[in-house]
Amino acid sequence: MASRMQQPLYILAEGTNRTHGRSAQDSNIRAGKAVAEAVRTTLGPRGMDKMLVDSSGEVVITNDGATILEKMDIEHPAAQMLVEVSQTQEEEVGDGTTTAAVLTGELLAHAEDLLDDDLHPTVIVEGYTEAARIAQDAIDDMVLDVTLDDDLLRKVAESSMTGKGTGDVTADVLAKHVVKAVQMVHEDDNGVFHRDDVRVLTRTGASSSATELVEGVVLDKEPVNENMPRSVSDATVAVLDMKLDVRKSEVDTEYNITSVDQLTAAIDAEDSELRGYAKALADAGVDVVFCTKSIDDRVAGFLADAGILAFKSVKKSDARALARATGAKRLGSLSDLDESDLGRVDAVSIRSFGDDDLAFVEGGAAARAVTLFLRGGTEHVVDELERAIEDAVDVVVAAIDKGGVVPGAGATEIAIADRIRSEAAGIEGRKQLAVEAYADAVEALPRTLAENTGMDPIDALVDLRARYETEGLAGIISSGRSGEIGDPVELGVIDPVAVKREAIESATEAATMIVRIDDVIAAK
Amino acid sequence: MSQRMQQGQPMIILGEDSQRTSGQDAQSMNITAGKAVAEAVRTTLGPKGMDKMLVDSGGQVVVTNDGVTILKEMDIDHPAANMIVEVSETQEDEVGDGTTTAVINAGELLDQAEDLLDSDVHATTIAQGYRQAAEKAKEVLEDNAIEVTEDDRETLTKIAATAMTGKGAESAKDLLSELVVDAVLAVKDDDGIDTNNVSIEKVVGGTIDNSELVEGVIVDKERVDENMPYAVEDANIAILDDALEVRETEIDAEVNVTDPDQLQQFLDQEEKQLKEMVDQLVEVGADAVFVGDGIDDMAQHYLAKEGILAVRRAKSSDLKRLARATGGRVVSSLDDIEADDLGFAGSVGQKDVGGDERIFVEDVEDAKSVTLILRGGTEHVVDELERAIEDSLGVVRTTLEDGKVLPGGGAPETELSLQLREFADSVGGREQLAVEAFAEALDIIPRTLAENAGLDPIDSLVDLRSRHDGGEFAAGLDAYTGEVIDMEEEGVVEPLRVKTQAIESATEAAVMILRIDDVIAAGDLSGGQTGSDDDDGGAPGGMGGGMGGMGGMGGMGGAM
Repeated sequence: MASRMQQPLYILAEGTNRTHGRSAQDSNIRAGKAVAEAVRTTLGPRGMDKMLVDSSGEVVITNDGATILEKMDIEHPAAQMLVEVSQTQEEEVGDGTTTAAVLTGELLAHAEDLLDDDLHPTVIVEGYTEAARIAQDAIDDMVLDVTLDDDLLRKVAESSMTGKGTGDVTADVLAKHVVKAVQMVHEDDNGVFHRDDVRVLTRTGASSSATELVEGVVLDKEPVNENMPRSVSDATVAVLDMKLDVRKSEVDTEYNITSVDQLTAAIDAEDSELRGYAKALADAGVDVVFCTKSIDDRVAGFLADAGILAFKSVKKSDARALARATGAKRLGSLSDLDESDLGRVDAVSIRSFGDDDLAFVEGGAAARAVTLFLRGGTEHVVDELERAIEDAVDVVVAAIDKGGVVPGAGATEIAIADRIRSEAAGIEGRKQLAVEAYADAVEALPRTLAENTGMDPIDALVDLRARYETEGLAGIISSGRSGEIGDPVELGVIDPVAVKREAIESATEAATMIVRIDDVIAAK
Repeated sequence: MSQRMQQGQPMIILGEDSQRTSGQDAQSMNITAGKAVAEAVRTTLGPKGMDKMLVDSGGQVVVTNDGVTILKEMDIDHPAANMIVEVSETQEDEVGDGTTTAVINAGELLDQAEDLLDSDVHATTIAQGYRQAAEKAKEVLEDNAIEVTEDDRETLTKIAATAMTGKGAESAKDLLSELVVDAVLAVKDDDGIDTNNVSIEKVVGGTIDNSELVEGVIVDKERVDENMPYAVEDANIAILDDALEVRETEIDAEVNVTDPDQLQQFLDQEEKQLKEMVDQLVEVGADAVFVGDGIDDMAQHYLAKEGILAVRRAKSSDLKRLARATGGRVVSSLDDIEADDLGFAGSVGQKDVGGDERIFVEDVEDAKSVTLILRGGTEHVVDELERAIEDSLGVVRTTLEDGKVLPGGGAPETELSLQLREFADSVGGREQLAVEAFAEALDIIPRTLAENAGLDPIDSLVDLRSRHDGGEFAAGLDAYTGEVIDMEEEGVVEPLRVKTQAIESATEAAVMILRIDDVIAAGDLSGGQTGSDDDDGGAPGGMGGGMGGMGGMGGMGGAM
């Protein structure tokens, strides 16, 4: 019979793979570090991009941490935890995904050393949690006491875009667009900002400098009928959530026809019903119709005859934006149409881009939705541009809505590390070591930044600390072929505080979760 | 193995693929399997216990410290091992916590029994002795339990916190234990406490510290129509388990019309029907309506016109909770609705939580149904948080139901171990040995606590015993410092029933396994037959493992 203390594996299904004890910890930590290593080189203004090719040959070129990790097809369960960290970061604040993944990896690397020194994992967890609290306090103190004017927000947007392939438009032009877009729709009647109100649409062709901000909505739609006007100015708009088609009852109905007259009557009735739609819209003074459902061909013809521009099968999200831009209500019925149900816009026009027609709806009365219309030479360029712009929009929103801004360029991290170290001395017991390790892990961010910028990481770190000690603010500013230590605020390198907070929070939670695992049981 | 047929039993009576193990082989095989299960969860016990990462065949990952979750996810094939898994499931259903303790107890009881079997004590005698010991143990625990009342909020909070230690939730246990106690006290009513009325909403993003308790209900839906108000103040709420759609007959009905006017009448009739439904709601004064089924587009339009906030396809559990929270009634047909049926809430509104829009029904008079919003950095963090919170809700509920608690930190086990040894002397016959073995087995809990904390188990055990011998019932092991302290004073307490249930079900499972002297597995059912419902999908693969275990267990065991 099996020797007593041994683990007879046969209670598990065949093929189950089990690792436990130190080897489980090692394998998890290594996997986590490997993921962090993979995105490290993309950090910062001088970070490089990755090219990812999926199994069907689809290519993505990006600098965005969350996108890289998502496309990398990672299998190891512990490595997936890191991917999740970047996803949470992306969803919550939209930027700093690489930072969060790198920090998690560093926390794990330091945990490994602590485990080697015989610190119990639960002690490491306590220490890290404690350190994360101190870090949040340090971030509080770093929040800049400034008013969030357009100029500052532009810097925030620009900081987020640097290092990403923003084409030949310098980041500052795009930043201007982004800030303007956010400012235009910020704060609606409920005092809540709706992220959906800033829309991004991309089209290849021209160059990225042709990127523009449309004060309204751009639809990837063509008119339902060729004979409709291709541009309307000063238009009254209806947004419909109903079919413009012959109405059918819920119960199956069938005509029982015995004479020609009856048939003619039935056809006439349908015809007049369809005409009724066009007439009702025309009578109400509608110039443009956006319909989320189908429009019967005959109705389209009648609408064209009445000089009304109409679009069918408009996406729900587009309809929502149209309603918010024009002030129109989304209508489920034409029976009780009145003035207040309709919206107004300055112009609706169809513009051709290559083979595609796009509908531009500009200058809406309510102006609660705007579109950033991005152009770029190739598909990959616009895709990456879109990711950069989405991130930039998110950080601007985060700066406005979630507690302001802190200096970027590694300055906040240096401050955090310094604070943690000075408070570590007062912490009793072995967890002090874990708290100190946390400070080292945080410092890996400016170190990586320095490395990617082409500086000697050790020299840079030492200089940073020294400068922080004397001036209380120091970051890594890239200049020329290398970088130098400077004042990030002065140079406009600013990040939203929410990005830092979320990175610290989710990195700590994921790292501590991985450290606590001592057994991995994987079914085949 | 068919050669091993004792008493000349003809193998031919069994199906061709049947596997049979009997006599001592069967006993030792089952015991080894049971012990293996206990061994698998041992390292998770106590504040310094570690977590397990479980990956299923689809690559889904679960990280947890919760005994029952580990065992459920482990895809266990062996029939005897499954008996032990069942112990943890019973524990979870009955009291919600202590699943690891129960399993470890069962495993150790089997281990002790093995020695007794080796020294020729009959299995039924062991069973008898174990039962007597378990009975006595319950008595001792009940005599020593500490009374707790509902007003003793401090103790309740500590109980909630104790259930969370060692789990991912630990870093924010001060806040979370307050939330848990608030939640349980809120849903308590004359009929008792149903923790199903505490619903848990998981939100990824933010930290655990941002978790909060909403005295009301959160429905994970958005309002059906954009034109409806975002929020309504002082709302009368209609809760409808019905559809706001045109009524149809069950039998296929077809209408034959002969002219367009007739058709028009039908269409108008349908529209009128929908309008009337909405009018009915307006008439009873509803400001918000939650519908279990669909809402017709036209009805949505009318509702929006009336400024009524409507939600469609709300889950029936949500409807029930809404009724409980707002004091309304779930009406199953709109025709029967009356003003009395409506519930009331100070605010109903759509809000954004972690990027998702949900409907919050808050500010109710006496929230008999509440919602805990749990937040955490990643999905796995919140999942584990949810498990910890559910355990914690369970123990607080159990405490309030029974009003009795015991100190933690291995204190009750140490005391029992001492008292049972004394009690053994009064037991005649060979059962005495079994009672002693039972006492010995209970030491496994303090021993494992010490081991997991990196302490010397023997030193800790000796310390504990001497303090208990001196009459300190509450002396338990502080895993952080390694010292023996008064657990009651420290506030480390857990409900009496967690302990008694753990001892009871562990004893029963151990006794059941000991009494088996013959395992007959019909061919490919070997794994699935006793595999209960938790390893569905594992059945086909299960065969090989189970068979291998039966046939050549020595070899397999050594393979590890």
